[in-house]
Formats: sequence, structure tokens, C-alpha cells
Amino acid sequence: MTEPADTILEIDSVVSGYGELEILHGATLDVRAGEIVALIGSNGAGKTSLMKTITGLLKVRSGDIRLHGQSITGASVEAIVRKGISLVPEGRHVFAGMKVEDNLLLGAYGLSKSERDAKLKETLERFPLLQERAKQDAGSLSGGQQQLLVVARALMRSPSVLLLDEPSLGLSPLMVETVFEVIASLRQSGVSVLLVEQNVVAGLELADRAYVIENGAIARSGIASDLLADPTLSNSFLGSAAQ
Amino acid sequence: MDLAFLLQLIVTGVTTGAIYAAVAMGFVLVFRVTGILNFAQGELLMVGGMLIISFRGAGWPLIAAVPATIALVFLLGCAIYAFALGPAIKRGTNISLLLITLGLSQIMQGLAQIGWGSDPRYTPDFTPADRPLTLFNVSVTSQSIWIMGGVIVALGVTYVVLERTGIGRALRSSSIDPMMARLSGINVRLISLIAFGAAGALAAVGGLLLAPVIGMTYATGSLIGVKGIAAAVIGGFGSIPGAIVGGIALGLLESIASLISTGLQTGISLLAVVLVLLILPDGILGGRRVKTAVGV
Repeated sequence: MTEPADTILEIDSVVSGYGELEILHGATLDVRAGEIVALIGSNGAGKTSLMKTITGLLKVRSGDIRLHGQSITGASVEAIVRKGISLVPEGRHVFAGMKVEDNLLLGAYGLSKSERDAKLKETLERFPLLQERAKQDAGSLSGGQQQLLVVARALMRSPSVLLLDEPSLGLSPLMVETVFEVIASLRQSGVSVLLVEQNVVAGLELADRAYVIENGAIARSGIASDLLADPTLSNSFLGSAAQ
Repeated sequence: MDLAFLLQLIVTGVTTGAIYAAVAMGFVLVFRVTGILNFAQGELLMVGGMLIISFRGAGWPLIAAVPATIALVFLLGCAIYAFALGPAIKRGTNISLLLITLGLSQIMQGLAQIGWGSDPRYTPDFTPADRPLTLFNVSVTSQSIWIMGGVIVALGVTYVVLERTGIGRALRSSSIDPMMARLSGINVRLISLIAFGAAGALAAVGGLLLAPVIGMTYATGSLIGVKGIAAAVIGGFGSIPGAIVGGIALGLLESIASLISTGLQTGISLLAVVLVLLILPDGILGGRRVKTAVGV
């Protein structure tokens, strides 16, 4: 199948899983330049497994994953990250015991010192809340601040694609709003986003397109606003909030 | 007990403790990054001691013998990870990895016995002096000053590398959250290799500084290795400052125990370790649970 010219990330019939357990049974989707794509599905449908497979944390058993048209299937996690895919996994994975500034610098690991310093300056200007706490232990930040730090760290490498797994989970409403504003702003900076969000309504409102994953395969896809308005989808995933 | 005698005990204890601190720091570095308790750490110290004796015996000046010893033991530490533990780490259980390190310690002892013989080997003090320095009625040998100074420099360099460099940040992040470290583009296996090399270099510093003080044999490393673990445990296993505090504390305990019986010095000090841990189960500075790079 020929993909649109501006396709950044292609997941083509990917099969993967844990040990003998197969979770993804031929998932296929794509993410285009500068768009936010939501991935929705019930618990255990394979959302997190897909994120882990894209970044190499889970091995691709068959199928192919391409970034900018080049296959990254079988590459190491580190190589995939360096090629331009950053994952913010579920939970707030800050390096507690290290300064906020050091956490951010780790996001640019492997870049030259001048590039690292420039990215750090740019990121701290973009996230004033982190600038105020740059010398503070990352473990002492609030949950929301930690989540912002993890997102900011993932952006330090200027990735082509940012994978966000449940970024609002467990955050206060005010902090959810802040995190969503940051995600929306990525569209302007040309970063493509694949978003898994437990708040399906908020995720679809933020996204340009969306995929519905069921039992390890893509069941539906479309414009996010169309899916949001779809009554059959409302019954499955959106609950009373959308009805 | 007069003040001079007490100070003498402290100087002796701190000198011995500095060596334990260097060994303990190596244990902690490797454990934090890889989750492996490397029982061959003491043998790395022994190799460091044997190498400096050999180099000096061959007429090398200190300025060449010291860096050559540190570099070779660094490489030996890397080789242990690259050829023995690295390949086993993904499939091995904690017990099997521990047994591999025990096996390696025996192999290294055996090879050292073949290569350097069974008799104790000696080398002169780095700066031989007719008599020890006397400060406040306390006599301090020149080699004691070398030991304390050398270990301070080694631990200082380790601190600066860990706190101020990209490699140091990578080492620390790999010990905190190896999966997230990989997702930051860090090659955790390479970092594990460097941790083993750095632990080897620290052990080498301990060995080369200790060599003029004792008769070095192929078996010297095993007892010092046990004491290095004890020091790390006293300080709080997994804590880097704890390794230093634990090393000095163990050295001081031994120094005090020598008042009771020099023959029972080790037994008494290790008994004291047990007592410390009964009161403070996590050690003086508190240990930490460690996520390891195994299987990520």
C-alpha cells in the first residue's frame, strides 16, 4: 500500500507479545507529519504493547515498522530513540535523586555539548515551571510537575514522533489541562504525536485522527471528531460523558 | 587511654578504612547499575597489587606503573562483564550470576598463583622514609599518607565523573530506572561494562596503594573483598556515600578490635558489623532498593 507522502511513522501488520503470549495480531496504522493521532481501546486491547513495540522494548515477530520510510524493525531501543522516536511511558518515570536539569540533559544523551546546552536552554524557557526548579531533585516534584518533566525530557532530542502513554493518568484537573496544552502545542512545532489516553473524550478532542484497537488489531480508524460523534463508539468507550 | 594513642588508632583505622571504602565503592557501582554482587571485586584489588609489584620490580617508575595498573585492571573489569556476566545476565538468575562471580574469583586466584607464585610478594613504599612522620605524637607512615591521599583522589574523581559528566548521568540514571535510561537513548549494556571497568579501577587503586604495606599473595583479595562487602553493607548497600562511611567505620572498628586481640581483629570487627545491622538494618546511611538492568 502506498502511504501519503507526509507519513512519518508506519506500523505495518505488526505482531508482537510477551513470551509465548501474542498481544498484537497484525496492527497497522500510520502517523503523519505534525498531527496528533489518538489510539483508543479497552484495557488489555494492546495499546501499551503497541507503544513498546514501536520503541523496540517488545520484539516485532512479524510485520514492519518504518520511520521516514526506513525500516526500524529489529533495531535496539537506543537506536530507535536516536532515530527520532521518543516514548513517555505510563507512570511518571523521572530519575528521582537526580536534579531536574540532569533529567533533562539525559533526554539529549549522545548529542554534542553545545547541542545539549542549547536544547536545555530552549526547554527551560518553554517550561518555566521546570526552570524554577532546575536544581531541585526531580523526585521532590509533584505528580503533575513530574509528568511535565518527563514530556519535556522526551522533547530534548527534538523527536519526529512522540509516543504518549496515558499522560494525564492520576493528575489534577488543572495539571491535565497544562499537559494537554503542551501536547496541542506540539502540532505547531512539527512533532507528530501518537497518544494513548484513558480520558477518551479529551484524547479525541485533542487529536486529528484516531484508531480504535481491539484484541491486538486495529478495528476502526477515522477523523477524531467523527469518531467522537459516533454513537456506536460512544457505547463502547466513551460512556455517559459523550452521550 | 591518652589522646595520642586514640589519634593513632584513628589514623590506622582511617588508613585501612580508605582501602575498604575503595573496594566497597566498586561493589556499589556494579550493584547499582547491574544488580550483580561481584564477589571477584577483591581479586581485582589483588591483581592491582600484583601488577604494581611486577611493574616496579621491572624498574618502571611510579608515574608509569600506577596508570598502567589502573588501566589494565579497568580492562579486566570490562572483560569480566563482556565475556562472563554480560552474556549470562539476561538468562541468569541472581544466584547463578553470584555463582559466576564466585567462580571467577577462584579462577583469578588460581591464575595469580600460577603467574606470581604462592609466596608473599613485596614492593617498597612509594616514597621510602627512614622514619614515620610524627604529628601531635601520632606517627604516620608515608605510605599511609599515600593511601589516604590516593583514595581521596580516586573517590573524588569518581564523584566528579558521576555528578558532572554525561557518562556519570548515564550511570546514575541506569541505576535508577534502566528502562527509562534506554528510552533516553542510553546503551545500558555499555554503561554496565563501564561500571565494571570503573569498579576494577577503584579496586586497582586500593591494591596498588596497599601493596607496599602487606605481603601480597594470590589470596589477599578474598578477605579484603569480604570486608569491602561488609563496608558497603554497614554504610547502607547501594549508597555511594554509604560505601565511604562504611569503609571508614569498618577500618576504625578493626583498629579498636586490635586492642582486644590482633588475631581476632577480623572476627571482632565483623561481629560488630552484625551488631550495627541489628540496630540499623539498612546500614548507617540507609540502603536502597535497586531496579537492575537485567532483562530490560
